[in-house]
Amino acid sequence: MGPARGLQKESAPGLVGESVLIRRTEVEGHTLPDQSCLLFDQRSRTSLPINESAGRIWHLCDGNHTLDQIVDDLASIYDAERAQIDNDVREFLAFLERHGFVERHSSFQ
Amino acid sequence: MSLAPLQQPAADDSFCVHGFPFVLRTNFGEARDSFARLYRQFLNPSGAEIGAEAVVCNESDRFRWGLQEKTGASVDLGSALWSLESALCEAILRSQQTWIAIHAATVYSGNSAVMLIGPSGAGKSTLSVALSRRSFTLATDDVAFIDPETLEVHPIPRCVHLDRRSVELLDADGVRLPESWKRISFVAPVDLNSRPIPRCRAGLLIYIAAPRAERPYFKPVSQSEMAARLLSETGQGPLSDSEALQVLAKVSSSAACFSLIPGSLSETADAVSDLILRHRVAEFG
Repeated sequence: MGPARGLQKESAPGLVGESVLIRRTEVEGHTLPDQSCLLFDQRSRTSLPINESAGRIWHLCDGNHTLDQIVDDLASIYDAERAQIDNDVREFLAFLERHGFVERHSSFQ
Repeated sequence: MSLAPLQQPAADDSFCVHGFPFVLRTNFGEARDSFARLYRQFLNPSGAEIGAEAVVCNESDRFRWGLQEKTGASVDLGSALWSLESALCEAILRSQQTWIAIHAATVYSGNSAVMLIGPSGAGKSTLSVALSRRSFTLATDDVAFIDPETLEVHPIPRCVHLDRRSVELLDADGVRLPESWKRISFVAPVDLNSRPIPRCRAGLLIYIAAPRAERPYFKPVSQSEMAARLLSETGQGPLSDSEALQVLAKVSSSAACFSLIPGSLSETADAVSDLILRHRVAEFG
């Protein structure tokens, strides 16, 4: 699946299946006609182009989906081993959290 | 042509480049010719709007230039013209109230614009001049505006920026630079081709990546990746980052987007030429 090309491998300290992440309000997400997605953090002026599957993860960071539910969602769409999807989702969410695109939902920390 | 001052009063030529009006005052025929060629699409014969005064003149053994608060002096006319042209480009960029400036060379194939995007030193100028030999129309080797409403491209013509290595590569590719290059190192896009610049959107966006490879090749890039590249090549403008990003997303969405890993100049220019022509065929197909 490979959510976003070129991302460094990120460890995911503290991310568990029940973790819930939410998009930061300062970050804009633009979905383009080719279904790729561009995230832009207004604070740091950092832009992050991501592919369709990563865009789906981004949109599911709405405060209502746990990490496990995001993995379930992607596993129902993409033809890949669930363990691989789980690993990719964790890495991507860890990256997003580390770079300030998402934050832990306060009720679920 | 002699570099001596004209034996006549300073001539005034009036231009309005993308909304920036100015009058050129010089008593050097070569300077007058150079700017007339560079801004030939922007002649403002009525001079209705009095704008800034751009001056090139000689003072003892120096060539003085000036535009608004910027002034300088050079030992040769070519350097003075380059400095004045650079100051004019900055003033044109600063004066723009609506459009977004993108650091990109722009060539035209028929009525379609091709933007070559990349940081300084990526090879935009050299490649765009090589493309002019392959019958594409060079409009600028450096910067162009995008109209957020129409997404049309509005290049700012600049004197072509080539270093000695670029000139050698272009010479090997068969490009013959005009006489004005030998005299004062000032080549306007119109010196390389004389077709008018159409008003149109960018149909093809090519990001020049690094490092070079043995043979040039292209990689399709997503629209979001290209929008991010474009954003990184825009400066401070009239729009907020968020507004600019939305416009650049539309620009990327309405074009074919590629990353170019360049090889040798000739092979790279041939490959880009093929890509442009294939893109045009696909557009019409």
